[in-house]
Amino acid sequence: MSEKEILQELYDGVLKGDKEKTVSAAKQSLDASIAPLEAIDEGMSPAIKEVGDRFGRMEMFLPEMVASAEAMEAALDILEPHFEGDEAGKKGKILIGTVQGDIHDIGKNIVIALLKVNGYEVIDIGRDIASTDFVDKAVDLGVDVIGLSGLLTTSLPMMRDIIQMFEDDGIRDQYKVIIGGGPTSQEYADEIGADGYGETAHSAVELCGQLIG
Amino acid sequence: MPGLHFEMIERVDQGPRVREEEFDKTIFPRLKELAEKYDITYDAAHPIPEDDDMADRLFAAGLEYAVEKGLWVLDTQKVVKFTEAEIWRFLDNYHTPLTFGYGKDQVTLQPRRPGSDVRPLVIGGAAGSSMTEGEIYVKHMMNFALEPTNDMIANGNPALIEGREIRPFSPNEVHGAIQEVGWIREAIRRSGRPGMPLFVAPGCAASAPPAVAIINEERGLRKGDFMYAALLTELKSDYDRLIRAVAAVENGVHVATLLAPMIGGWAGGPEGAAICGTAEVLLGAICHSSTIVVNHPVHMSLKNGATTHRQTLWMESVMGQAFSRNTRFPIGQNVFLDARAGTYEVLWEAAANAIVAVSSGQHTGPGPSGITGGDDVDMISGIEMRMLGETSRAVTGMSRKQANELTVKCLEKYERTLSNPPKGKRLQELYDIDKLKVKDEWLGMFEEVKADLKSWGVPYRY
Repeated sequence: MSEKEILQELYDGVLKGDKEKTVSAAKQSLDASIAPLEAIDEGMSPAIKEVGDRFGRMEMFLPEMVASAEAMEAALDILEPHFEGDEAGKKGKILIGTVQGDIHDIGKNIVIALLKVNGYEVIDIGRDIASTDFVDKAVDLGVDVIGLSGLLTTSLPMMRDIIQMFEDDGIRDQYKVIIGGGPTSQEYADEIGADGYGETAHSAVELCGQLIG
Repeated sequence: MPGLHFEMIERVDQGPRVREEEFDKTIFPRLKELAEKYDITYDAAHPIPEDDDMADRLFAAGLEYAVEKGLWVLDTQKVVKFTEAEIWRFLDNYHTPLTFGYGKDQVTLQPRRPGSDVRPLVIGGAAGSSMTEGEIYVKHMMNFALEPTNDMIANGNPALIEGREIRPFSPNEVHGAIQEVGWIREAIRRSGRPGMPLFVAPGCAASAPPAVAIINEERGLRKGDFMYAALLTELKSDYDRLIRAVAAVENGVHVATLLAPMIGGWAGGPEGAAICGTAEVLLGAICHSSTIVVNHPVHMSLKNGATTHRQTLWMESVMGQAFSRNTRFPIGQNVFLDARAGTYEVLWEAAANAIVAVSSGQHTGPGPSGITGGDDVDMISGIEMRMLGETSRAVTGMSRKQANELTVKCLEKYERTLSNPPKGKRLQELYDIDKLKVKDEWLGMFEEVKADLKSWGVPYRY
């Protein structure tokens, strides 16, 4: 298979969310001595951009985007050991969860899928998560950004509590904290001292880019 | 209603463990197959389709999927399943008419069909909308109760309780929920409608304990009132939600099952979401022994849960038609508006939602609501309720063809601002709040929209 064909396989595999095909193409790219960075930039990146665009236009749906993200992650696992230095590591590490008392997690799951297809390492700590767990996990895992999600109005004080806990522990300046979900707003983010507010899943990704980049 | 109460209690922790990821991943491909098998097709030009056969096929597809898939329970990671025979045992024994409330404020729920001239219930309130606590909250509720079209009163969400934020599982959460229902009771008394039935999803109850705590004959939910128990999107529940249903049912409080099938989410596009939602109605109703299901389709592109997107309107219509043509089981259409009080758009949205609900064999509401929070408080008023209620009354008996034409015209008025709606105003700006009188400007905007609707053929009698 030519280099062009392998890159096309990577593109098609990610776009279709075909993990097997994408992993196979990643292995072939190594066998063909294609630089991992090239495999990503020329093969998978255009595909994930297309996935994001189609999702935004609702030509693709959540399960399809999740499949694309998983296909890309699996291929990256193949390519990563062959990176030279830190030429193409993940863009940043993000911890994300739905705050205590709130079990609604679809919004969070959408943001996670979109972050993954945009090359971030994402740790999903789940839903209805105790405020202390957000702080403890962020420290343990050394993340860059903490994303707090919630649909209920009763989720708002939990977001305030978490930011206050970072303050109380004297580590607030080491982390970026962003919020999102139905009742949240830029005004509320400002009020509780969050570093940002994502109105949509796409804006959450842009926000992470601004904060980490 | 005689649901499968014991069967649910037993089955939530029986059977093999199914991981959530595994459960989720099979939803989309299977719904695609079912949409093809049953030929379910979204048509943007017809948010209210007139296709009886498709409505029946949708019901059949949802029934097949409900039997096959079941309801996943978060706490146990088990799947609760029911046979087709069990589902029919529930549906065939559903008893109507049913009467709620007391005295002159009693209302009756009767089965409807698409285009039916049987009067729909209108459930007015704003669950999900953030409101100032205390007297302002009471004024909001009075605003809804004073609308004569309102049959049952739904709640709003107090932003604070006793000046304090409401944290889940906290003492203030239980205290707040009890306060909230007390305020609603005070509001219906002051409005001269003490017998009005309550239809409540306490805004202070993110967890089950406060929901259970409000069941109280003196000041809380009484026998014959309604309490929500929601499903989780898609096809999921948990102990918290099932506990609310058990507590309500065993205390004589009706359960309204809320479901929120999502367009663009695990179920895919509008066709898949409609099949998924149909299955969810069946599973939720049986698990909760529900008296009514409240359908709240959500669209991926709208942040605040509005039900007025063209695709969600279609979904509401086809699901309403499917159930009203094939069962006596009632569906209420949750009405969440994208724009806020004080705008023309919010009125057009309310009118569209009412037209879709009533012409498709459903009941209107609860509504009008909109998810708000933070500083976005009190952005709702009785005028949206008036539009919802008066339009629901006026279009009762209207054909789906005419209703579709009207809905498309309404969409032309607000569709372009969806997801970026005009900001709107607070209740305190739109009303003389002490006297609870709407100000001329806001009333004038209402009359203007109503006059347009009338000129298009909505037969308002007042």
